[in-house]
Amino acid sequence: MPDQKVVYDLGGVTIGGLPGEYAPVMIGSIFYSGDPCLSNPITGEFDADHALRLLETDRLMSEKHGLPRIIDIIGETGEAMRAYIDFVAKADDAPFLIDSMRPEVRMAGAAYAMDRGLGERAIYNSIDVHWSENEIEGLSKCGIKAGVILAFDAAHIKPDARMELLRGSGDIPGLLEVAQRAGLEKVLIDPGVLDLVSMGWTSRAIAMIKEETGLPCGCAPSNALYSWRKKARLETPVFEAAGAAILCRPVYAGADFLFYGPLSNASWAYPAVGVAASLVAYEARLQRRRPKKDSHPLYRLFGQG
Amino acid sequence: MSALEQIKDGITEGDPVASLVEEALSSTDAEIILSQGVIAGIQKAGELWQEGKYFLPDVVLAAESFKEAMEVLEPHISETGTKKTGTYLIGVVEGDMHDLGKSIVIAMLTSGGFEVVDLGSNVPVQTFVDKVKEHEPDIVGIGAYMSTTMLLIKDVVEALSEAGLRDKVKVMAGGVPVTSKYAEDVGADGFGMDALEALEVARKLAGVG
Repeated sequence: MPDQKVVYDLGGVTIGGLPGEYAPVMIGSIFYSGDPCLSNPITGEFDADHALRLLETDRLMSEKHGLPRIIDIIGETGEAMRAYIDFVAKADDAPFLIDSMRPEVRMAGAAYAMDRGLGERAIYNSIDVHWSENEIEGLSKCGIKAGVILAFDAAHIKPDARMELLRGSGDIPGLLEVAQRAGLEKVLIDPGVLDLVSMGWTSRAIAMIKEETGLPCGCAPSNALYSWRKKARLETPVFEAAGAAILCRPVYAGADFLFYGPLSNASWAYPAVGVAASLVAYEARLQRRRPKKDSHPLYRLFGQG
Repeated sequence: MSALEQIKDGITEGDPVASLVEEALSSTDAEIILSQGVIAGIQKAGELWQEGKYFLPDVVLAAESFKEAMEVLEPHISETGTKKTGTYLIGVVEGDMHDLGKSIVIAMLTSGGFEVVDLGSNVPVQTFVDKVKEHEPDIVGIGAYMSTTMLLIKDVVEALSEAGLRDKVKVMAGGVPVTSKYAEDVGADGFGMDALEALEVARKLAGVG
C-alpha cells in the first residue's frame, strides 16, 4: 500500500488516509421510509422533538467513542428534502448527505443546499451506474463539490469488477470520470453491499479501491442487515450483536466510513466500531503509523489518561 | 469434461461462458447447448439456492452468466425448434432503478421455457399497457423494490383494466416489499417470493405447471 492516501475535510470532519490514521466516519440515517419520527414523507412533516433526540444521541455517542459523524438525510420528494435540510442545518453542525433513490430529489436537495450556503457541509449521495447527462449537468451547475460514487450493479459484483465500474471499460465511461464531469472534487467511494454473507467481498473491494485510487472508501451494510433481520426474525440483543459483527468487517479492511442504519442504532453501533477502529489503529503501529488525532477511539476508549 | 458440461458448470459457478458457447456451436446443435448446457447450469444454481447452499451473489453471478450465454445462443435457436411455455413480459415500475432481482427472475423464466420480453427498470405505467398490446404476452410481471414504488403496481393493473387488456393477460407481482397479500389486494393473479417460486407460479398461470 502506498505511504499516503487522499484525506478530505468535509464540513469539519476528516475522512480518508491510511488505516489507523483517522477514525472511520459514522453515517446514521434520518427521515428514511418508515422512520418513526416521520409523519408525511411527501411533504416532509415530522416530529421535530423526536428527530432532535436522535441527533443528540448520535452526537453524544460520536463524542464518547471518538468516531466522527455525518448525517444521512433521506428524502422522497424535493419538498420534503428541502424541509429536512433546513431542519438539520439549524439543529446540528455535522456535515450531511443528500440521499434519495430519485435523482431529481437529490438534485433538488443539492441545489437547495448550495443556495442556502451549505456547500461546505453538503455531500451528494450518490452517482451510480444509472447516471444521466441531466444529472451531471445539474450537479455541475449547482456547484456541489462533495459526493459519493456507488460502484455497483448486477454485472459487477466481484471485488475487481467494482473497480472496473470506477475505471470504465470500452465505450462506457468510468464513474470517476463521470463524477469529475459533475464537478465533484471530494469523492467518496461506496462499492455497494448485496447481502450480508458477501460483506467480505465488499470489504475486499474497499481495500482494493483504496489501494488503487487512494480515495476514501466505505459502505452501507445497513439495508442488508435489515433484510436479514426480517427474514431471520432476529430480536434484541441478537440483532445488535450480529449487526456489530457486520459493521466491524469493513473497518478491518480499512473502511473510512460506514452507514450504520437508522440513527436509533447509534447506541450499539458506535461502541462496536470504536473498538474495531482502535484495533486497526494499534495494529498499524507495526508500520510505525499512529492516529493523527487525539480524539481517535484508540485513545478515547483505551487511553490511560 | 465435455464442452456441454463446461458450459453447465460455468453458468452454475457464474463464470464467463460466451467463448465456450461460441466454440460449442461449431460442433453442437444450438438446441442441445441450450437444454444440456445453459438451462441445466441455471437450474443447478436454482437447486443450490433452494438447498441453502447458494446465496444471493451466487445466483446473481449465475444469472449474468446465463444472460451472456443466451446472447450468443439466441440467434442460432430456431423459432419453431423450441417449444415455448409462454410469453412473459417483465418490467420494474417507474421511479425504481433496481434490476438485480429481475435479472434472476428472467434467467429462471427462460430456463423454464418462457420467451421473456424485458422492459427494463423505471418503466412508466403506460409503457406496460403499450407493450402488452404490442407483444400480447401470456403473463406480465410487475416488479417493485421499494415500499414507495410498489404502490404503482396497482396503477399498472388498473391501467390494463381500463385499456380492456386485463382479461387477456395474467398479472404477477414481485419484489422485496411485495407480499402475497399485497399482490392479491392490487388484483394480481400471482406472486413469487423468489425467482424459483415465480417460475412455478408462472408455469401454473400458463397452464403447464
